[in-house]
Amino acid sequence: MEEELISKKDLLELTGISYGQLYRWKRKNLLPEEWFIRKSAFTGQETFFPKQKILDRIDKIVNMKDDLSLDELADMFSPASKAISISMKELIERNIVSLSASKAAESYIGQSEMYTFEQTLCVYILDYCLQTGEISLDEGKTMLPTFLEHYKKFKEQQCELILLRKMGVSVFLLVPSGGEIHFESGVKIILRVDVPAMIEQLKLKLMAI
Amino acid sequence: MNQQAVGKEIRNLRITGSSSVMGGTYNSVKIVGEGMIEGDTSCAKLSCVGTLEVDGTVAADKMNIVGTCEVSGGLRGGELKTSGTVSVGGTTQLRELNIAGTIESKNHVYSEQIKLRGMLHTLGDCEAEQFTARGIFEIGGLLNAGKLQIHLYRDCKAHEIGGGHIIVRKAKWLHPLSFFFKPSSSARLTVSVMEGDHIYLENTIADIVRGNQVVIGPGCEIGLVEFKEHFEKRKDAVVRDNRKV
Repeated sequence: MEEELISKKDLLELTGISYGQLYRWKRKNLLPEEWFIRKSAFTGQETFFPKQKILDRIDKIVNMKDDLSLDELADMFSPASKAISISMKELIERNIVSLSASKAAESYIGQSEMYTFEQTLCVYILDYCLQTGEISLDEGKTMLPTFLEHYKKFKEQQCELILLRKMGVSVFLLVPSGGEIHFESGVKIILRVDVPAMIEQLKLKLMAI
Repeated sequence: MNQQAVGKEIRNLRITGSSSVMGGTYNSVKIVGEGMIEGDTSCAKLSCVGTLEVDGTVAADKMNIVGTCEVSGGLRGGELKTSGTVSVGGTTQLRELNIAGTIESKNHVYSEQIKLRGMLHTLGDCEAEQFTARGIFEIGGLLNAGKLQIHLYRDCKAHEIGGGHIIVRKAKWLHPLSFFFKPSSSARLTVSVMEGDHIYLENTIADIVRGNQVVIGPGCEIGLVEFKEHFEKRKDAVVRDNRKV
């Protein structure tokens, strides 16, 4: 999957931001280091960015920077877990996760009063998968332990959750994002979930009170 | 060496003479002489007169190094003042960095403020909101700062420089520091690519300079200047090519 790239010059022109802002956001970790792709061009070295991702991100920063400080924004974009705990009741009341997802999760995570960010994320992703209509509740139940067990191993690295199906048998995979994967024929990719994007959404929802 | 029990858990660590201890959490760590700490260490205050070697990471609110300090892992904390030599293996993340001696880093250096009057050498990037240099630096990666003020005393080098305001000047003979540390008139800043909003350069050698407002002062050799609003070339400057974008 080849991503479309945009050069720094074109990016600045397109979005109207300045070098100073771009470097400032980079310093504040609003733009991840992996997005700065250095390539040699005829004018010397040039920096390129994955076009869609950087445009989305800059759009968000520009729209939200009046309401939130840069540090708060950085916190939202970072894949790091937030130190929070929240009760399931509140999650359902605030419409962050659905009742059925929380019911399914309960048996795996335990009926603890307070959920950590990681556990909340897990339920949130399950909810998202169920909402897409691509997976059944039973499959969701196999996803939960997979995610809970292995997500920690990625630390703060970006990862992707993939659901494969072949001849009715479903398999969940958690892989680092950016890498290419190929499968034998007959395997169907049912769902790809970009975990950092999920984290971002969840943080945004948690922050909005 | 004695470890005084203060309160229940957090103790002070004091090494006088030569000793080696295990890491851990301390209130204040003071080394006079030669110390070796094995393991990750965190403390409120660290001061070292002499030699300190840490095999692990260090987290401290306040650090003051006179002499040498070697940290194999990363360095985190608030304020670091050094008039000796500090070498760090991992990333350095601080609030305030005051260098009157030498800092050698194999990795990135992040600090809100960096004041350099000695030498900074890093193989990785260097990021700061404010970067003021009256010394020598060599940065293997990107030097990224909101406000960058460089007074050239000796040759300085960075692979790339980016930021808001970038000002590079020759050091003045009249500055009090020049009394001890004579500026060399042939001191140059060498960089391959420089990008910023407002740029003023003297004695700089660069392949490409990109910015909104660019002023190239005396002693510069620039391959290409790309500017948006304003470009000015003072006399005694060489700019091979310039274009408005």
